[in-house]
Amino acid sequence: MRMQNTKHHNNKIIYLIFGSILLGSFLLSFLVGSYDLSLNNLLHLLWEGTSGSYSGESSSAATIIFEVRMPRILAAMGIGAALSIAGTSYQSIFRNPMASPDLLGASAGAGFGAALGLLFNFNMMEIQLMAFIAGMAAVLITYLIGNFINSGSSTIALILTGIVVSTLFQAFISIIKYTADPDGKLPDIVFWLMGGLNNITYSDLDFFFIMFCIGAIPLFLLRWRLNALMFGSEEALALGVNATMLQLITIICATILTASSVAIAGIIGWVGLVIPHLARLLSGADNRIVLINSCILGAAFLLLADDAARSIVASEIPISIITSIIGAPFFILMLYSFRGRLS
Amino acid sequence: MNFTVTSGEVISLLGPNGVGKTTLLRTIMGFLKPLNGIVSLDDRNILSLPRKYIASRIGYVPQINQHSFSLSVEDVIILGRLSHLGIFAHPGYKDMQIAEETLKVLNIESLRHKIFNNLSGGEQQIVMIARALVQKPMFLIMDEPTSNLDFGNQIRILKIIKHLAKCGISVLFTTHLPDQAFLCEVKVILFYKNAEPEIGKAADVLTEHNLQRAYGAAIKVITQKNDDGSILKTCVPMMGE
Repeated sequence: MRMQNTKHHNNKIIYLIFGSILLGSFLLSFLVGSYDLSLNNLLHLLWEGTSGSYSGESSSAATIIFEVRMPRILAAMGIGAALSIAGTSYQSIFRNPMASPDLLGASAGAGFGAALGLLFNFNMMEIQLMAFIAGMAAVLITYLIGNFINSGSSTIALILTGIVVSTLFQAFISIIKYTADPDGKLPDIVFWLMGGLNNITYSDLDFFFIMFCIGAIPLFLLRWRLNALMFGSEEALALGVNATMLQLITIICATILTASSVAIAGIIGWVGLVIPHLARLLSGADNRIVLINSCILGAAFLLLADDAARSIVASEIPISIITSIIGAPFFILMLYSFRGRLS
Repeated sequence: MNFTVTSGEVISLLGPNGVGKTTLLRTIMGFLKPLNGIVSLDDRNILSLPRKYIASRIGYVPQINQHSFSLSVEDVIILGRLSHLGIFAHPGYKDMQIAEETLKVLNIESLRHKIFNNLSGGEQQIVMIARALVQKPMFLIMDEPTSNLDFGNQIRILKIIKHLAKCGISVLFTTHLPDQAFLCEVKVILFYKNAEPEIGKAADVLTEHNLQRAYGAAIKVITQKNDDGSILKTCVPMMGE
């Protein structure tokens, strides 16, 4: 059938392009850094995997690839994908292109939870849990107050409430910083909050990827149904969707994704706002496609942002600085393109 | 008030603003709990039925409201298949075919790949009807399907409603134009601000006296003889003194 074929055909091309971009950034990211690697050498070592035994030159190259750069690359891809999926999902259920983990307060909330975990020397699992609980609390507060102020689904009320809730949780974070030991804990918390992938280990990743799957798989399976929520919960009900349940599942899953990212890499802003929007620009708003596209695009984006973070100047700059520099002007552009349609 | 909708019947809800027409529709859809009384579908209380079942029996055409995402028309109408598919399923070949047939019936095949938000009000209304029809419902509930539409589009929607009734689908719709009830020769429920609504044939219920009582303005019902000899009634509000 024509209707099906043309659409599937276009999507395949888009997936192919995005997939190539991701593969390209993946390989490129191994080559960025002070240790010089040739592409040939890299491909060879990646092909051999960790199983090969290396000597001399290739042994140190293998260490760089598998011990230093690989965890960081996997983390960048996972976090980029997680934040983008979260952003896409939040935007669909709040019917709001401006919703994102940052603007709804999820990031700040998760940041507070994780900072608290760091302060008390919790292990990774506990930190993840703290981040999730506080992130969830922040999103629910935003949602409830936003609804209370304006029971329709006004964009402005939700976003302004999100900003207020974010500020509140930022203040809680400041309290933690204030109480933290300035010689030990404080620098840890501060550097972690700025967002960075430099200290990520394989054991952090294990836990992150479990959380990633718990959050992402339901959203992937339910992604077509999210389209119905874009018309509001009454229309979704009329279409046969249990709207409240779907909203709740989506909020929980998206917040798990946000919280698990924040717990290992700090608050990395803008990704969850910019990437879903970019994906929609390229392939329309159908979540069957957008969720996959924003996942791939988000992974590639954060990889490249991290490459920039570790190569622009001699010492590393926090990755959230890079994403903000790209995200802020993008947000202004978005505001401009939605002018007159915000309330 | 008590009323039953049977197969192929068209009922038009008329009455002043704020009298609760939309509220009634939303109650029938089960969005709101009835203040008292019950809404039953297939002899069962609608609040006890799963949403999926209700959606496979009743299609809902809401008032058009803009949303912020650019879904294509085919993405919008295929959502009508949600009530027929499993929770993780995506629409397949059969669903696409139903969507395609519906586009053909409503004569909007050319809109298929257009972005819903960029359509005119009339086109958006027809797409919303298409989405409801893709649900393959027995009943169609429409909230002011002709408000904000020009004459041409109003007639287009009314023709669709008549056609659906002929196919055995019952339609319940709200409107601000009593003329439409005359045009379609439908059953009417006329709401008053502080009295029981009146139910009956358009010609019986929509008298000058009743309309004045409902809308609080003098309204003349003018009888017009068409070229083919048929009689058409139309309502004209008067300025009064």
